[in-house]
This record gives sequence, C-alpha cells and structure tokens, in this order.
Amino acid sequence: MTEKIASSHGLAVTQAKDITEDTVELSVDAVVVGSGAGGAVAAYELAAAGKSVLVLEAGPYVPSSEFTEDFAVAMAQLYQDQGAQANAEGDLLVLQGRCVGGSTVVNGCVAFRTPDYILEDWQKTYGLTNLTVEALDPYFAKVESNLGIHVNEEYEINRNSSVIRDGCQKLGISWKPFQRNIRECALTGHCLSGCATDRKQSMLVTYLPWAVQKGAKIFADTKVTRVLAENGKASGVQAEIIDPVTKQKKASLVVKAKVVILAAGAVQTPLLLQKSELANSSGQVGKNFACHPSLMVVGEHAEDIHPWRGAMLGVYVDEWAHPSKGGFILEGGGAGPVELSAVANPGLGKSFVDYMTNAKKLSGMVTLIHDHNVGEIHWEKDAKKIDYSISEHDFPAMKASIKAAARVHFAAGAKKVHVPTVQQLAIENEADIDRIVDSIAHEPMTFRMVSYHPQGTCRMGVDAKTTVVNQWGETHDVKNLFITDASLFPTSIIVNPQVTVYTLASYISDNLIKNAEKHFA
Amino acid sequence: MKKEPAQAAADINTALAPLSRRRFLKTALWASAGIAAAAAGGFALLSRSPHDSDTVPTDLAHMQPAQYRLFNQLALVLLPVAGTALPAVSDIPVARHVDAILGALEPAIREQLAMGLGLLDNSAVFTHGKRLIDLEPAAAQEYLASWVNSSSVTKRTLGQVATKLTHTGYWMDQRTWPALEFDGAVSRKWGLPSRGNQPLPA
Repeated sequence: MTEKIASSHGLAVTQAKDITEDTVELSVDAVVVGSGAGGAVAAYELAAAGKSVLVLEAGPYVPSSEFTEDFAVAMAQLYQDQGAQANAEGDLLVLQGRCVGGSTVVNGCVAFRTPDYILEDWQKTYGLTNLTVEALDPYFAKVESNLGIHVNEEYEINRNSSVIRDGCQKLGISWKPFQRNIRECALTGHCLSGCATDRKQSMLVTYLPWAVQKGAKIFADTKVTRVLAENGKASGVQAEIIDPVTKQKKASLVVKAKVVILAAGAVQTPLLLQKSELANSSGQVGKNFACHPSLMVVGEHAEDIHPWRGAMLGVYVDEWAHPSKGGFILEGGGAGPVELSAVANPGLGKSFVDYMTNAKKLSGMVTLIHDHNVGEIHWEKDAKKIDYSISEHDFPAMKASIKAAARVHFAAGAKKVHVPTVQQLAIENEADIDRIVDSIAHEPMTFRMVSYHPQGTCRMGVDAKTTVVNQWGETHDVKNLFITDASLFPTSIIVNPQVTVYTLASYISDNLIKNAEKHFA
Repeated sequence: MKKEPAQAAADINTALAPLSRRRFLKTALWASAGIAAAAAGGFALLSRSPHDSDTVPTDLAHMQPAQYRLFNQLALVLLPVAGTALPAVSDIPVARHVDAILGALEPAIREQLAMGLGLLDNSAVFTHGKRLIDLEPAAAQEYLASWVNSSSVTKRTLGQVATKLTHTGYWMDQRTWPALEFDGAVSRKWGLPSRGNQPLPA
C-alpha cells in the first residue's frame, strides 16, 4: 500500500487504486465504520487519546477540488445510490452522503443543539438520565467551537430568507437566523453539491484531517460486510475493497480491533448489524426509523428573489417547533432550476414553462416535522428496504406545516403559493389556505417529499428489551460494539441532526477513553 | 401483435390493478425514477406510430429505443419554449440526459420502468385514439395531466415519472440556465480561494 501524509489541503486516504494485495489484514485499537459526522468525531477523539484508529468508508474519496457545483453531477458523485435512495412506496427521497465525510459534505450546514424538551423526553421515556443539558453542554460547546458554528450575520441572509423574515415580522411570529458550521461563507449557494472552497466545516476539512494528524488511517471504497464478535465482545470487521469504476471487489480486508464503532448512518448501520446477526435481542435493530419528511413550499412574488443566490439557508421559523404547538419548523431554503422544476406541479406545457421562466421570482421554504418513529429498515432478499409512510398521527402536521408556510409566503407578499403535491394544487388567496390544504387526501404519492435526516434505527436507552444501545453508546448485547450516528436517537428531534450526532459521538468517545482500561485491554 | 381494443383495455386494467394493490413505487424527487410493475410479459403495441422508425442513437447506455423516442416527443410536448429566451428543445439532448439519469436505477427497476412507460404510451389509444407519442401537444398535455392529477396512485406515479424525467432532462443542462439568470458553478468564475483544512483545535 502507498503511504500518504496529511497536508493542509486534501486528505490522506487509501483508495481502491492504492491496493495491490488480494487480502489486507490490519489490527488496531478501534475500527470506525463510516466517515461522516459520528465516525469522524469518534476517530479523532480516540486518535487524539493515543489509540490506533482505522476509519472505513464505503464511498469514494472526492477532494473538494473536484466538486463541480452542479447538483446533478454531485448526486452521482457524492450521494447514496446517486441520489435515488427512496422509501419502498417511492414517494420519499432519502438523501444521504456516500463519500469520505459522509452527509456532512453535502448538507446545508445547519446547526442546532438538541432541543431541551427532546432531551427531557429521552431522560423520562428511555432512562437516559445522563443526557442532561448540563452534561452535554461542554460537548456542544466544544463541537461548536471546533466547527466555527455561529449565528448567520446579515450578509448570510439572502433575499429568499429575507422575504421570509419579512413575512414572519408582519405576522408577529417567531423566527431566527440559522446557526451554521461554516467559516468565511462565500455565498455560492452550492452547499448541497459540496463546498468547493472548503468554507463549509464538514468532516472532510476538520475532524478527518485532524484524526489523520493524530495517526488515524482512512480507507475509502471499503464496504464493511460483517461485524465480528467473539464471546459476546466485538473483535473486528470484515470488509471488501471495491473498485469504484468496475464495481468489482479488488481485495478483502479483515480488521482485528478491540473496539468497533458503527457510524454508517441510520440506514446502513442497522443493515450491517442485521447482516452480522448481532446486537438484536431486543428485535429493535432497524425499527423506529424516523426522518423529518420535508416539503418545499414555493411562493411566487412580483419581485426578483433569485432563490439560488447567496447562503442557501438563512433563517428559520420556530413558532410551531414545540410538539405542543405542532412540532414543525420552516426553513428558508434556496434551490436551483432542477430542484424548482420538481418541487411543485404548476401545470404542464406552457404553465410549467412560465413557472420556470419566472424561477427568479420564486421563494422557497422547507418544512420539517417531528415525525413518529414508524418506519423500518431491513433486508428483503439482498436489497435494502426503507419501509416508511407518513403516519396518521403525522399527516395533520404535514398539512399544518404547509398552511403555516403559505401564510408566511402571503404575508411576505407572494401572490401565489404552490402546494408541494404531485397533483396540481395552488393557493392564490390567503382565505383559501385551509380549504385547499384540507382537501389533500392521505395517500401514497401525494406529497413531493424529501428526507435529509434519517434517524432512530438503533435507539439508545437503558432497557435492553426495547433498545439497542445503552446510555454510553455501547450495544446491550455485544461489549465494545458502539454506535455513534443518528441511528442512536430514541425519537426524532425536529431539528437538523448533525450537531446532536457530533455531540453524542464526542460524549460516547469521551466515556470510552475514560474507561479505556475496560475497553482497550 | 395488435389486440382488439376491449381485450387490450382489459389488459391495461389487469396491469394497473396489481400495481395499485402493491403500492410499488420508487420515485426519486430530483433525478431518477423507477417503477416496480407487476405486468409480466411486456405490453404489446396497440398501434404503430410513425415515430417507431425515428432514428435512435446507437450508443444509448441504459434506455430502450422506444423510450428514447417517447422522451424526445415528451420534451417537445412538455417544454413549449418557443418565444422565450430558453434554448430550443431540439438543441438540448433531453432524451440522452434521461438516459444518463436512468443509470442510477437498478437494472430490474429500469426494466419495470420501461413497462410502465409502455403502459402510459399505449393507454392513450383508448382515450384519444392514438398512442401518447402521436398526440398533438395540447392533447398530450391533457392526457398526461389526467394521469398526474389522477386519484389512482398508479397513474399518478407513471405520469409523475414521465414528466419529472423529461423536465429534469432539460433543466439539468447548463445551456438552459442563462435564460433563468441561474449562475451555475461560481467558485472558479469568482476566483474564490480555497480555505483548505481547518487547523487542529488548540
């Protein structure tokens, strides 16, 4: 294998093209599966504590110098299933990154701490009494400092978000500027295609190079196929190194490790555990999937908005965030032509062309709801299946979020609001909002939904009968097998999850290190 | 093989019914689509079309010739851009772009998509006397709208897939962007320097 060294740009990564052997065998203190939010943080914290760490990433290594700022190209290059991962019913796209750095490379940089009422629910319902605001505060603070998380300044609030802000101010409802993990934002608006000039503080430019500086090694193109355990204790993983061009296996990899950390995300982590037949005495691995199903509600204005210009995410509306008030938030979100062509049905033919030629006069708001954990991830023969539909409990929240977004749009001066349904549906008068939205039937293929936040499939809790992982992130059934990704969340968290993942990964790693004698003996 | 209309209509209903029961669907919002169709054995053409002999590129990666012809026609019907600042549909290889999009699908889904699109194309014979590929733009739009806005989940899916693929195949082409004032890739244009890796925290 070729040895590479870390540098100030780019990252030292062993890729399939660097492998010359048929079989590679390695032995480390900790192997981390997945290089996204949870994996990168765990890798760095353990490497910084002097442990030998290996990070295995199934996706390719794509340096930021190769980001094209073309969303269609980015989908093929950086996203799971080239952006086509969807639920079984086909009406919900589940977007995740699949590359070194994971979803943090392609997210919108939005940073929220876990809401206090969510942590309180976790303490009360799942026995996670260690996860208090006070206990987690230093971890939140560390992550926020490391990633340059700050409140958007005025120059980071684009026209799209400022009209939304105007609407909120007219209605007297609560809005706030986003916090984002970005430094010296250049306002390109291409967050979802990867930040080409390294301003987004993704794992690619932060925790991963730091981990390498502390001695960690990263393998890309490497799909872990099985977690290994002996006598109830994790002992390593088996993996395949896949040529990304031919898609053929280039080499087998066997890693012996004292500690195995799974951070492949809420879809891949449970699938790996199911394949490995581990850690599932509760029967909960893969269950309890939630995903903040999102819609984009578009308003047409008389003036130019250019929703693709400037920082993509400027402000959000938290008036209805608390579950008692509806359990949803609205986010001022920019979009380009391909996305705008797909988020609404303004009619076909001339109506559609007119809508698109006036795309610069559209403003977009993304809705996120606090959905119930009703989904399941599992294998069906050799294919993964994401079984998830909007539940009867959550359908009212979907409609309420559309109504709220429409009200804000009209208050902001929009003359028409497109309802994000497959069928053509628009509102031209504020007085018609309730009637039109209430007419939507609860059926598959009704909404044009996207999820950016899969979560919940290996939930954390003290009861081994109903949860997968204990309060320290270790699986109940297999010692030294930890999880540090969003599959840990016992419930959906309403807000963008990256900071919660970073924080839990920091917390779990810290406890691992404090108990190193027990775990790394 | 040409079937009697009544028999063919029954075939269509038979094809649609299990699709509705299974609630199959794999539709991507942005860029690609797939359909798990239950109608095994394909779908015989109900009528020949002059378009059936349109030339098709020999280097299509994923698309079947019939689909290429259909998407060419859908682009003309769904994107009446004449009179706007947008590039003519004939200048944008919409069907080729859709061919690339289909590469994201698993082969089995691509096959089923082909069946679903065949269903969509041929069903128009019963409502409009011609296949979708042969309809005049206004009639084609009306027909597609009836599927997209249908109360049938299956029809909605097939209508949505066909229109979304066509639209995406056009708007993903950078030549369509200047007319919208969409700037596309800007970092190099603006001469933005890379920040590189963030230094190790203190």
